[in-house]
Amino acid sequence: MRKDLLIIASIILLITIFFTGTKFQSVEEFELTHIDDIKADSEIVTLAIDSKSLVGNEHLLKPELREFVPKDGIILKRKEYVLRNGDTVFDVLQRATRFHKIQLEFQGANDNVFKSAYIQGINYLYEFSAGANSGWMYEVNGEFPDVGVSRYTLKNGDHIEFHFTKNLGKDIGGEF
Amino acid sequence: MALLQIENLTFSHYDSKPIIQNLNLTISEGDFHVIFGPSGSGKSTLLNNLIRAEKAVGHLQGEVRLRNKPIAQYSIRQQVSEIGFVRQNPHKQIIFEDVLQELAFGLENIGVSQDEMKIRIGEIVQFFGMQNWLHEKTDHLSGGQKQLLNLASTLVMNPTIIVLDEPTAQLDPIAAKEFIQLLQRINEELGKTIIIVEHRLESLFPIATHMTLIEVGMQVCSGTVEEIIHFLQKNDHHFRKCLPPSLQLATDLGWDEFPLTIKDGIKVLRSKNIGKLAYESKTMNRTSPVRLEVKNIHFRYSKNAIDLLEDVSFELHKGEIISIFGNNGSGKSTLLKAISGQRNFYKGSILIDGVKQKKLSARHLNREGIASLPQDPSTLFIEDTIEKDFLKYCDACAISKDNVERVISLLQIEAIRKQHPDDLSGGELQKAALAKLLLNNPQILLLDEPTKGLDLFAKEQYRQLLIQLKNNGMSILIVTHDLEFAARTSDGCTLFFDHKLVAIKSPQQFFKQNNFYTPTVNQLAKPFFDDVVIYEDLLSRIQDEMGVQLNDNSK
Amino acid sequence: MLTFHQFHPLTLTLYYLFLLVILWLFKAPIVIFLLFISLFLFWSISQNRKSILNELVFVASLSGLIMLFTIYFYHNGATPIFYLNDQAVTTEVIFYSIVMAVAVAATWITWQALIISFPMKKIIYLTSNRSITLAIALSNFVRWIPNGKIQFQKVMEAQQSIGYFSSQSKFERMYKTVKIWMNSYYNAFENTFQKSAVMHERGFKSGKRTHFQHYRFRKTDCIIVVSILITFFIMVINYAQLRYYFFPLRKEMTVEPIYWLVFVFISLPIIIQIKGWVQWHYYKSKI
Repeated sequence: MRKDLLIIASIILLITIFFTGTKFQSVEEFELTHIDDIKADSEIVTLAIDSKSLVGNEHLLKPELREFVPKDGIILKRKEYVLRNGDTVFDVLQRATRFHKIQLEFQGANDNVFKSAYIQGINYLYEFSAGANSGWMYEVNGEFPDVGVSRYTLKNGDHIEFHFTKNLGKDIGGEF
Repeated sequence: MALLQIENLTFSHYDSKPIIQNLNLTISEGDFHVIFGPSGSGKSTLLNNLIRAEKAVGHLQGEVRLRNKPIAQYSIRQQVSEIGFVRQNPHKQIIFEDVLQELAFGLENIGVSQDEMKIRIGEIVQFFGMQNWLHEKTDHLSGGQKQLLNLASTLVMNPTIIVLDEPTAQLDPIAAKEFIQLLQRINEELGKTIIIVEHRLESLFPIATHMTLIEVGMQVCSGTVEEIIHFLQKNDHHFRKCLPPSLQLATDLGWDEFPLTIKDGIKVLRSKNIGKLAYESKTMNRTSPVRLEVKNIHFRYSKNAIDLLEDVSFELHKGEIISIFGNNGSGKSTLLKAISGQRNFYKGSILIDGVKQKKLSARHLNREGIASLPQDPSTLFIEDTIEKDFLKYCDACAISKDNVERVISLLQIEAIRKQHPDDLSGGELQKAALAKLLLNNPQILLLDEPTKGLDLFAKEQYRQLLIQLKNNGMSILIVTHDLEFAARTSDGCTLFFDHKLVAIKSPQQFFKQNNFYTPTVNQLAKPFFDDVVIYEDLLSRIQDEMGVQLNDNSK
Repeated sequence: MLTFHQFHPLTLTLYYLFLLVILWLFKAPIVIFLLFISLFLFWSISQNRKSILNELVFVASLSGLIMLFTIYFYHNGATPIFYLNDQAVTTEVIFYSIVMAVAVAATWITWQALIISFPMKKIIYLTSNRSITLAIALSNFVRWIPNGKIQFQKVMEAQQSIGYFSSQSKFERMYKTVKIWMNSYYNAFENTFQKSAVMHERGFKSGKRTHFQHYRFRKTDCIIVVSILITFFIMVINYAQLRYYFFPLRKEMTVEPIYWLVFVFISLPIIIQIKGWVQWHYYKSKI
């Protein structure tokens, strides 16, 4: 029976690998991302990431995470990035965090019920890190879209902001 | 005073024909009451209705009274303390891994104090001589030991009545004898009342006080042993064949004496001056071509174990039935598995029709032309109904579906074709199993204990079928303990002893040389005709002798 | 006391429960590793070489699979080694996967030891006076899987011999095997209910029961139970300090003072076993 257990587990593992792929990159390769230079005719979007809701509330976090909340809560200051054709919020986020060496963990689009990538953690701050209602939410041009990050296609001049919320958005102005 | 009174008992499942009808039995204290009859005649149903705890689903009429009080009025505890039950299958009754705990279980349930439990268990262990295997795990016990354990577990409760449902059906003859002897001691030394349903009646006749014949759910005759014998004799009832050979002789030859044991039978025969006439023993006639040749095969389960099959060789011809005897665990079943390909021997060879058989490389392959019946025939079936199972099998083997109808009519199992294999009786299951094996028209048939659970008539049917198959050219190898069946059916017999097969001889020659391991008929006839193995032969020879004597007397 | 299994069933239950809870609640690597080693040694005392080898292979394969799974799904941690599908595989994740794999292995081997400690009669002893139905359900459960396995093997052999599997397609054969597998375990499940019918027949539910073998609650049992409870209490109170975390940076693996007690508990079976041997040799030398 144990052999059967092992076989079933291996099959599941193989299926998983098959679906998620096996793209290996060394650390240097990964960090060698290219941020496009901003030219005169490039389309531009801006991106900012913050965890302001945790400033002063570090007690909500487990002790080992507290050092990863910046004093002013700003993880990535607002910057401009070139908008490539068909870019979604997710694409820009990925590029930016990669370039600035900020940790990012996400669930791929095909693993997700909503068919969109899902942001689990940025800079080691994960969903549920500060309680059951905590996690990452994003707004574009002051509004909170109701689609996943990889389903929102950007236009020239959009402002993207990622906020960490402690209570499903109430403390960052975007209630569910 | 009657201990147990069964009055007008009728039982049926809802909406169907009654399984038992109007049974009336009176059982007194100290009786050894044997209930017999064809399979499916409702005997088990009768016993189940004595055990209130297992209430069958159905419509019950009539009454069962214990000491003049209806059984239903006793509490469960009282019932469990008064009536003990031993079933047919030794393995299914045992609950614990521990022999002692198994014995103690019933006592625990009725709240006996720990000290008393220890005394009672100690007593029983002594009585049964169980000291040697007291600390074994129950899984490691033989079938015979398990059944003894079951009996001991009921006896330790000190019941007044012990009820047994075919307790020796799954045991080999030696274990069966041991069991019956123990029952006799329990009845005679301890005065317990015994109610037993059995097919193997020969050894019970000297012990029983009363008997009841039940056919098709109805009571045909009930009374003392003498009354039963008279009844069978008077009505020329077909159940006469169940009588021990000595009694059969008495009824067939019109004697005044009724010898119940072999000892008595021999005495009577001597008194009739039956002597030794010269007869020629039948030898084997093996002229047909060799179909299966086993040459010097060796097999063992692991590198450091001893050989289970050591230099085994024999031949099986076309149109021949050979029986193999031997102790449990001696390797007989392994031999069959080696032939069918499930076990690979490390030395030697097997040839079928002259072609050397290769080792089976993959687990899904099998040797063509061979069909084998396992010890547990229920493992042959995997679908919900017999019919579906056969059809599925035909698909798997890529053979025509007409074969299904052919085997169903051949084995006369039309009535059970829509039934679930688990619901079949022992006899029906054996027939269905044989039918399945015949679907693919095998040339060689390997049967492992095919008569387990069959009553006399089913055995006769089975035997005739095997003869028919043999006459059509099939080669059949039977591993069995049933010496009577083998004597009647086989062309040759052999013994598996010390990991080898002895030379194959005709049944007459084979049993002639044995003193103990022979059918009852042979034991009766030995002082006179040592090669007689079938009752009919004995009868005809005695009649010959008596004819000669008459002639001599009249001269 | 010759062996650890001979303690009172209640003591044993508490002990095993304690181990498993400490294992998964605190996740301390040192505890996990020691637990695995100690219980594996303890379990292997009663086994022969072949089954030890089998078990090791199984445990190693299982651990390997768990490690692979973890690496694919966890990307937390501050020290990346390489990137897989655009997410980091860090030293912390590697460490986490190893520790979790060993934790699963430790749980498995604890379960194996537990099975030896608890033959059916002890289960009945523990539960029968409180709940008869629970007793029957538990004892059935333990029997179910070994019986299913035996049935499966028997049916497979019978079917092979008559050529049920001789069709060409591998897929068909696999399908048939799975079907038989499910049937065998289902049948075994049904059969275990027959056991409870037999138990009823022998008066199992008829009233108050006594016990043949009284498991005496000795002084040693008392000491063990009390110390387990105290240790557990202390550890739960200090949960925040004692709990081990892996991300974003590994916690230092220090040995808190209370852990020394835990180590004693973990090695208890082995200690008792050794003590038994020493005693036995001592007595033997006196013969």
